[in-house]
Amino acid sequence: MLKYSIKRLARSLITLIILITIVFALLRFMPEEGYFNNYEKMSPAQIELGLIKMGLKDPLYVQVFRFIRNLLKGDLGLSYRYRVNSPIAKIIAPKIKISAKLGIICMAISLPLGLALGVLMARYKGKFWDRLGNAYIVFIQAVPNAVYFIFIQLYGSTWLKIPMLYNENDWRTLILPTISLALPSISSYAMWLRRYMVDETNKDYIKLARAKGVPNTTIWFRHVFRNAVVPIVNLIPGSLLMTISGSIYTESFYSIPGMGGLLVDVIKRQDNNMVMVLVVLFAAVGIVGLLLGDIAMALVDPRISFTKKEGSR
Amino acid sequence: MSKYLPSEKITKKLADSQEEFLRKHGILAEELLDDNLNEEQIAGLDEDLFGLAIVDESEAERTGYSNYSYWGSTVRMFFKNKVAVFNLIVMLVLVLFTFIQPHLPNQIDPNLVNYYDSKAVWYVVDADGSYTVDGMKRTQGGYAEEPKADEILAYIQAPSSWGTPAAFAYDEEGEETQLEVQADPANAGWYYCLLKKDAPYLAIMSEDLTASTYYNAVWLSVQGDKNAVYSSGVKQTKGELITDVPDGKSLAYVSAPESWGVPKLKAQASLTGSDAEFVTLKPVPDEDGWYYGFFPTEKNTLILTSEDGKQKGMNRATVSISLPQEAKIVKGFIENKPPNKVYWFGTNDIGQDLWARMWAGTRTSLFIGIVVAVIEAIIGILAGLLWGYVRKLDFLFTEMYNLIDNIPYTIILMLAAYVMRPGIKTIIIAMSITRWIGLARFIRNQVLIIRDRDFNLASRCLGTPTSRVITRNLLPQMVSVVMLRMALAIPEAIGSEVFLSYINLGLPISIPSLGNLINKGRTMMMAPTLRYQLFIPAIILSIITICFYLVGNAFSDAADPKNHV
Repeated sequence: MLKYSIKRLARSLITLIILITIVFALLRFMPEEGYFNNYEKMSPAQIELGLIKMGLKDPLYVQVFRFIRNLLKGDLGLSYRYRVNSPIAKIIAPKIKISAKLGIICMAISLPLGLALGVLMARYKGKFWDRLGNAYIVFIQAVPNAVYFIFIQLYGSTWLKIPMLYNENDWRTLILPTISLALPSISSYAMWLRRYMVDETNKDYIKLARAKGVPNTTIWFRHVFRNAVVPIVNLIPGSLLMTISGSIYTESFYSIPGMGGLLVDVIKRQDNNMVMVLVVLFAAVGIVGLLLGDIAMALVDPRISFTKKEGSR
Repeated sequence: MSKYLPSEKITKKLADSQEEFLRKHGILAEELLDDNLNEEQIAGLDEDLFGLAIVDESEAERTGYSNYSYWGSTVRMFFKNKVAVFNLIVMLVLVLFTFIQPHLPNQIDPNLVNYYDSKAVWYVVDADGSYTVDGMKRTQGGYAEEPKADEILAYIQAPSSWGTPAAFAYDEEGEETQLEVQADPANAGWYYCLLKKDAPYLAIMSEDLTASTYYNAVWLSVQGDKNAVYSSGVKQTKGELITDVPDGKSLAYVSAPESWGVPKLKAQASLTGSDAEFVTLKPVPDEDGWYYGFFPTEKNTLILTSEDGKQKGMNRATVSISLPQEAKIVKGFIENKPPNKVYWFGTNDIGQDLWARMWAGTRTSLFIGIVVAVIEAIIGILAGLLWGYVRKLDFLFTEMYNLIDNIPYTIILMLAAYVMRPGIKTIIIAMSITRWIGLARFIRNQVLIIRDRDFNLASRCLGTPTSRVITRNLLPQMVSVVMLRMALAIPEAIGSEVFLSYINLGLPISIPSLGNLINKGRTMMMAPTLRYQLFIPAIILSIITICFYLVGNAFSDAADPKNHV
């Protein structure tokens, strides 16, 4: 287990380094003005000098190496346009806190609700609850988030008389963003759990258990649910970590000063350095999330062992 | 139920055909049943019986005796699902309509900024004589007659009970001239006349001159619990108008709630409020609740109070009845018009027709979705097959998958769109970069599972080339998933496009798309009268995405051979 984790971690690091290199290479194609806050007023010579000073004319591998070295020191570089010449780490630290708070509240709500809905749907497959849940899932999965988020904001704030924009000191302003964020995650938890549970009920050992006369509740919770929930456990660390990246739509709709809105802002202002740092950060979070997910799955389900050669991932 | 088991049926068929064959060659079956033939009998047998059996390759490929057809069963399964069939119909109608819409007559270009007409005005007259007039082009084709520089072309649509309407123009002094009204040959129900710019006050009357848009009188009424006073030039009393109006005075009709008693009417000069004088009101003969009086024409601000003075009209009515409304050329964009007969879905804030933009946007989004789906299918299948079949490439593809799968999809999408210029191509590339690998991984897993199954081993032993094994044995098993992913690519592409538009990396406004429309609508969200700009695209987008999603899922269920009974 430990050996596997270390091996996975090493591989994740390699993936991350490849990613940083690709992002660096891509940024070469990005407009140069993304490195200066007063680009319009600068002469070509000044621009050239500025680029050399920032080390952007160095060969790619030198830049990547320098970036990684600074990263290990906890130095994420400077923002050039979003907030002129201020350290990126300082900009994002408070934003991560806000996004994570919102994300964790949302998970705390959506995980139990999603699992409950999934169990309910699997239990009454083909009946009213299942159909209702299916209609909800289809709507949420098919229609782009933005569309129903807009309507939640519009009618939520007019009918419930809640202030539309986020205010740190008013907890009511968190209600609508939380609902918006929870709706899609409830639907995805419910959808997967239902699917896994239905698969599980069709297996032979369940038939055997029934034939033996095991009570229904025991079958559902001791056998079906416990087996079906394992792949869901795999997702949880990832989603938990991803909360720090925030949600782009909700945060910018309600002007919550979190990470999701930040990425959009930074892209709109063309701050190349921050775009890169954020992309690397989110990718790193994604990678670590998957790793932790696999470990969590192994902890929950003793049958899973990683010492055997795996197909992929 | 047949009395034979399926296997017995087959063997019986074989036996029967064998017997028939023998009988044709003059051998009785009983002879054959006897194993101990003597040499004579053997010599008497047909030479063919000892030769190699004739093999017909095309017959050999036929699937036994079963009349199972994969696509037939798929379609049958699909049509069992009523919801999916309904959605399929809705989807087909919508998609078809999207593509025929620009070829329908009288469609407006989606990018055209609509101005009010500079030479004509349109009058729409209702049966009670109320009317609207503005410069929104309501007739088709060009002008019926080119107006000269000092003329305005007035189009008139009157209720059919009016016959051919008569038009009277007034100048500033109130001089009346009758205009020549002609029917517009290109537009049924429309008439037109030419109006001089120095006599632009137009009154329209019915052919028999009994109904009119303009009377030399005003009708005041008090409505609602706030006692709002409405003044109108539309005739509201039934009988003939009072004719003996004294010189310098104008006729006013008043109707007030019963609790008011006989209302009092005070007339004063506008703004200054000086020289107020009360107007004596008399009941109108044969009309309950209506009173009439004459007020001095220049004192045109009218104030209504009840008989005892306790109830007051909320507002003063400033009336001008000496001339009909002026026919004025309206200048500017036809902007933010709610849905109407000309612009079925209204217009946006710069005067573009939302109906045309809606369908053009749907076309763009569908086009993006379909192209992304096709690219995904082609690259995904090819890469998946290579990944599964060529062991040396496994490492490369697996690493690539890890890389792409580890980064959130939206971030790759944003990064790709950020690096490239906004446009349809960018969006397609940005979406295709990552999508294919998911399909490739699925195909690879299927290939690994199916590749070494017995029937494939058998094919390989028989020397079937790999390409044939792939196209005949492998791919049909994956149809269901490939189709599902292709169908789901369209809602996903629409969603991604909305997302990219939202963060300003989407299509320019000159290319209408669902994302552009939704985002434009969102900015109008806070004004209740402009919400139609958000509702209409949101509803159509939801219908399209839900249809594709449901049909895709239903088809994939139907295409899965496990579900074919």
